[in-house]
Amino acid sequence: MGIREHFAERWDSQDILDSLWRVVASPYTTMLLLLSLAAVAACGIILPQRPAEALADPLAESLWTTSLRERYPGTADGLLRFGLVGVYRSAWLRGLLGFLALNLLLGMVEWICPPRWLPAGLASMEGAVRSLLPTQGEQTPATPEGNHSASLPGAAGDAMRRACQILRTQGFRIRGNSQNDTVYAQRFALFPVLVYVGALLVLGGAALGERTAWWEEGFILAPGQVRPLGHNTGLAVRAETDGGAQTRLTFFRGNREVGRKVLQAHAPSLYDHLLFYATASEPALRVRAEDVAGRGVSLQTPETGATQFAEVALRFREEEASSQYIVVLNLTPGGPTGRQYQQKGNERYVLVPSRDLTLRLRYAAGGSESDPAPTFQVEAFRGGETVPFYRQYFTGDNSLQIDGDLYTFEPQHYSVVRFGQDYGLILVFGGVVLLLVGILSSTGRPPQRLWLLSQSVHREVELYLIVLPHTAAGTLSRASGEGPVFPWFENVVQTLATQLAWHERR
Amino acid sequence: MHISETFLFATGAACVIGGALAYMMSVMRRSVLPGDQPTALGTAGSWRNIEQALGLASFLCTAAGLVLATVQGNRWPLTVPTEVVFASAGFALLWQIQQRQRYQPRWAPLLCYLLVFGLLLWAIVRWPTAENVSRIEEWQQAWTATAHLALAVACGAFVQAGGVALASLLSERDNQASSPQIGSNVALWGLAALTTSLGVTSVGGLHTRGMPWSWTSSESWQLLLWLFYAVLWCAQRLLVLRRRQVCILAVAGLLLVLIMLGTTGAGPT
Repeated sequence: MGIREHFAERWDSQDILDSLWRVVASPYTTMLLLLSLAAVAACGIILPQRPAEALADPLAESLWTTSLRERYPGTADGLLRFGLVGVYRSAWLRGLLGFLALNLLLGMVEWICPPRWLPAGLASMEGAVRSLLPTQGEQTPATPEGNHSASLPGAAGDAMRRACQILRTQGFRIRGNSQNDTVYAQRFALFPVLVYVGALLVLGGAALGERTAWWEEGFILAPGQVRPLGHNTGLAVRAETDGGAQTRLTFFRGNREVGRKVLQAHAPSLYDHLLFYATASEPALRVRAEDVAGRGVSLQTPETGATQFAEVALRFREEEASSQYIVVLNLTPGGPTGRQYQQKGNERYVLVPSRDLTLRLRYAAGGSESDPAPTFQVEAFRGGETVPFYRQYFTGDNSLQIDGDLYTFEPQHYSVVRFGQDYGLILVFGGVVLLLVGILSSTGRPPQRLWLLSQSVHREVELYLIVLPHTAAGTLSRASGEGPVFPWFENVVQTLATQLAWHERR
Repeated sequence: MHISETFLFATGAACVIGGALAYMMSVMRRSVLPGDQPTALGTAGSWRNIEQALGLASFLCTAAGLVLATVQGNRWPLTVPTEVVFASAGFALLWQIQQRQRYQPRWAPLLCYLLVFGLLLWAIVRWPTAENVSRIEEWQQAWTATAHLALAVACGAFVQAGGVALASLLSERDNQASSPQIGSNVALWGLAALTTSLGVTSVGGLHTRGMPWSWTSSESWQLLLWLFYAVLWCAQRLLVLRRRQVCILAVAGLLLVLIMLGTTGAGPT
């Protein structure tokens, strides 16, 4: 049966609501939606996607759009207009996912109890199945696939009862009364339900995560500093790190310590329903300056702008990056876009406006066993000079006299933590497990559904076993010669025939 | 004698060609003499045994090459995209050997061998030198290796199922006699492996980056493949479509897998 016939059979213009239900619940609709989502994923792979940096920064967005137009001169406007450069955040992706969730929900209901949801219930189904039987005088169908019959002496009720018993021993669940001349039997039909439930959990978890999840990025903690976590948690945290693989977190509620956690590098830790990650442990240097009279000297850094501080903290990285002002215009999918002044990771500047002085500080990690402590180099420049008039190396806490003022340097390690809450993840991972179990079980044991019918002909009872495509959806049609063959059906027929014959012999 | 991984991969590819030739010999033996003659069956059977042995040898050579590359690189296996292509070819051979007792269209094994040979050849040409082997951080490698192992099992299954489906489509006579389940169950087992790969990728992402999903190229490709083979699952388990329609879907899936492996969409996450 083609897709057009399938939907035509599900549509009844007399009953629009039922028709809509059946069309939305159709497995064909599921397939169309999955293919549409695959097309969206393909767009995301083929076409450049607007990165998060461009969404956050209007200037970066403008630069990225300009670059897009230069790279795709004829089609960029079309891509932008139809939202093809942001498919992962597009409303129509969410619409497709929402429609898929509805389709899966209705499809699951229809799969679990198919006859109940047919237009006129089980009776209508029976009538439709019965219409496939040969009429009096007509030859029994050649049973090219899916239909088998057997003739037995005796009453139809007895034969049906025996056949139902045999099917039950084979693990089939019988629907309908075995006193009747038509029953519906199914086996392994709940395995696909696991897939339905799993997919629904994944979609539900993703939706819940999008609505309720929050993450705090780059949460920086100086040594000994206690910072409130916010987000109505009522918690504050203190971090201690020695620059190694571990970061120790201490949690406070009010002034009372309520818990401790040790974060390993690149591994999460759970506390009070919050997930914590130690994303980095950065070497830092606190710098203060006093004049000869003991008064504080105001300091600036390029990162903090024109604001002057009595004390500044410089964060270093261990790697050396090229020092330049760069505009990142990466059009490859997932590539970053943005502007940043990228200093060497191990180099920072402190400006002293009142003295027209600049300090350059360089960090060198202590790599060797004999010299494990990190080393700092300080160079002082006057005005626009490029040659330092002062240069000194130091490790550990130190105070240096530079141009008449006393500068105090205090090396530290900062902890950079990421934390947040996402209950949707539980649903998503639970859904993935159910999906996996459902796919595995339904692959090993395909769902088996058949109809068992009896018909009295010349004092004999003819039993018919009919398996049809689309019985899940309640679609019935006389099976054509092109239809599929079901190996399991052959086995069921063989078992039923053998056991019925054994009963007859007894 | 110093054996390099490239030598092992090339030996594996040569074994695949040998297996294909042995299969052709077995088919020709069956064609020349009437099939029910014991001599004909015996000769064809021995060629089939040679074919199976060469297929297994090819898998072992590929696996040995991957192990050697891993040991020499002092890193986790399957962290390089090209290694995923090698592993996919190896698992396609394993799936083919596992399916040998089941009915297949006549030219299906030959097509599978040709596909596997193509994959091996492509991977050998692109095999990275020691300088640009892996850019994945050490702490990420365990997750990546596990996810890529499941991905390679899945891709192998898709390649085998796609080869059988293509052979089935090309052979009209086989079309009428064969079962709707030809090659398709392998694709569904592959879908289960791909689901595992996606699950491991997201758990690994959550564990190492704090994000279960970040729409990287590798993740997007895996999701695309999963969605496509989920359609195949619906077609077989919910609708029971005709075999020809299922075969068309399996062949389209094979094309997607080849594009993914060809563009190294299975690259590091």
